[in-house]
Amino acid sequence: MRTADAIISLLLLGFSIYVIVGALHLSYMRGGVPGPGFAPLWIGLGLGIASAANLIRTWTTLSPKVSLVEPSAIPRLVGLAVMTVLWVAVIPLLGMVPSLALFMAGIVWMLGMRRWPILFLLMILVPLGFYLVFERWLGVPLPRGVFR
Amino acid sequence: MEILSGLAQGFAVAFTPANILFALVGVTVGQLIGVLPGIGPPAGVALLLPLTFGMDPTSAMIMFAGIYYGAMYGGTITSVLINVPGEASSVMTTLDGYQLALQGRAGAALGIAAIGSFIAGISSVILFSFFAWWLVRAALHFGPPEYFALMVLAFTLVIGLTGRSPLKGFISLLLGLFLSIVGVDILTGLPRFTFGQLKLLSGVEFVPVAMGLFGIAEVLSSVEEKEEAEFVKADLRLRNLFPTIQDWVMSRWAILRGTLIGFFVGILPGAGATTASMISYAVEKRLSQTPERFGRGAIEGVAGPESSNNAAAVGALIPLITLGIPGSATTAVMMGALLMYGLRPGPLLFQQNPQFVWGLIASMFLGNLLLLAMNTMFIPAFTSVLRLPRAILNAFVIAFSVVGVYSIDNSLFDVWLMLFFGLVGFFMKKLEYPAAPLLLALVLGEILEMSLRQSLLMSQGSPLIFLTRPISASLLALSLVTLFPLLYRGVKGLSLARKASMIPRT
Repeated sequence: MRTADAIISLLLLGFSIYVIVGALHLSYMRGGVPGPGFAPLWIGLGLGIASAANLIRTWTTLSPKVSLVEPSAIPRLVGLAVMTVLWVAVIPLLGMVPSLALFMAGIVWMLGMRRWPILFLLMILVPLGFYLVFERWLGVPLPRGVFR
Repeated sequence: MEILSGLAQGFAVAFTPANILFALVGVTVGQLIGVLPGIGPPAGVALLLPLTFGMDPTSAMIMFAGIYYGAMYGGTITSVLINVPGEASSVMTTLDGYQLALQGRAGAALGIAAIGSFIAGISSVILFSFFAWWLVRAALHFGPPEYFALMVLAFTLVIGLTGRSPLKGFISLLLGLFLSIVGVDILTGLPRFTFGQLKLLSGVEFVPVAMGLFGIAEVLSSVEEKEEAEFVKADLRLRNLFPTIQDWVMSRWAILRGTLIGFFVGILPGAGATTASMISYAVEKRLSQTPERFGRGAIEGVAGPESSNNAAAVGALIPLITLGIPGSATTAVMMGALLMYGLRPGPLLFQQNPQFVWGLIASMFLGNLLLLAMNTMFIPAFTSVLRLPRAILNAFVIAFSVVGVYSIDNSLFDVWLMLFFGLVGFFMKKLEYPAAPLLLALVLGEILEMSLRQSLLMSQGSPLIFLTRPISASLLALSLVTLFPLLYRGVKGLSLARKASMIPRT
């Protein structure tokens, strides 16, 4: 956990430099009032100082060795994240409703529910419910993909 | 007199069939969110947000407020029956509520919590009417310097009161401020930090950020948690839910003190319902003549904190509605929603949309009544929700978040943004960075920068304007006073760390 905290602090420190450099390209004051560069400069400086302080604190305090994520949960966690990203990636191709049916069945199966009648019902009822609420009731044009 | 006529107007708005229905939906969803561990009120409000576009803003806010205080009632059930707080604010209830359940008195614990919450809810709504009216009178004299100072005070309080490390709270706040400046600068029309994305020219939308930080991140975190809930066997028929006369006698002052503590702590930005319930528990234990009973099934240990968290949920709406300054993640989501409906919360809201404000206040009387009925008659129905497999719930929350965020602007970019913030939120949670300051700063950042610019325009560039106006000077002084303990804690932490580093590691 300490290593993760330090890595995040380092990333934040790098990000603060990016913000400061970006702010220097914008004018600091304009016509007596703060210009577009004023707020980002102070935000970047604050972020830099705070993340440096956190980095020092992280490296100098003794903390018990705890892993960031429970090791046994990592496969489920990664699976959940990957399947969600895959689903969103295929929405333009397959359309929102059909891809949602696949996602529901896939994710519920992966998270440990292996009863086929329930998976089958989820594949039908959830996308149907979403279609009725969002497309029919709220009038949102959901992506159709190849089923256009 | 003005308050009474306002309330009468409010009841006329709140008691229309549509608004009664929205109050019922709100408190039911809130109760469910309270029962389900892992999903909190900010996620609940953010999840329902896409469904409210095109709706009357008053009805939407009646529903959202119902979710907020409804969750406070719901969180009790799991605390008492399975020793797991459904809501962070019910954590203190696990100490004595679960012990009471083990002694076969689950009904009494749930009953006193429901009745105490009801008394606290109704009393705080009455306090709300008076305080809000009084605060609005004062805030009408506020100009940009006062607003700037008020936001600075809100930020310092939020940093100090949320999370364990003020430093991490400060970093979270700065990240939120950074997100708020992304997009075209209003003053000059220049784009700032848009990363070459056209969609970012109009800024970072707050809904994908809120849903990512509080919806997706919570689902990711819940994957690690234990799946099976073990219930204490309890007879929850209505007759068993009424506390005995002795319970009443022991709890009456706890309910009253809890209400007052909750209401005033709730008003403070960043403090919220969890802090209120902790203070209330500590006060009851301190004042008790038999403090050794606490943690072993003291009924006052349930009555006080439960009244207190409900009162805090109502109190937290005061700074949002009267000043336009949200103090918690849930009220920040509500503020974002109000801005999207075209309503700017603040003192002018009372003048320009009295039916909105008073309608919302009056609806809380109704909502609390509905919750009392639910929590005395339908507890078994709500506990059955806990038997819903976590896998289905998680899949449903992700699906609802993705389709919901897409529907706001028909944009997959927003969906990707939400997933990104889901990941950010997950790591923030793991590394104990509080997410509430980020969301608060995102919602308020633009107004903060604008009020700073307006103030300096008024003073022709002199920052002394913040110190020469009495209200802004006092608010800034108060911010400094709030900041001192934080700085002291920070410096002390660093020096302790340095000392620790001198000890050779073996």
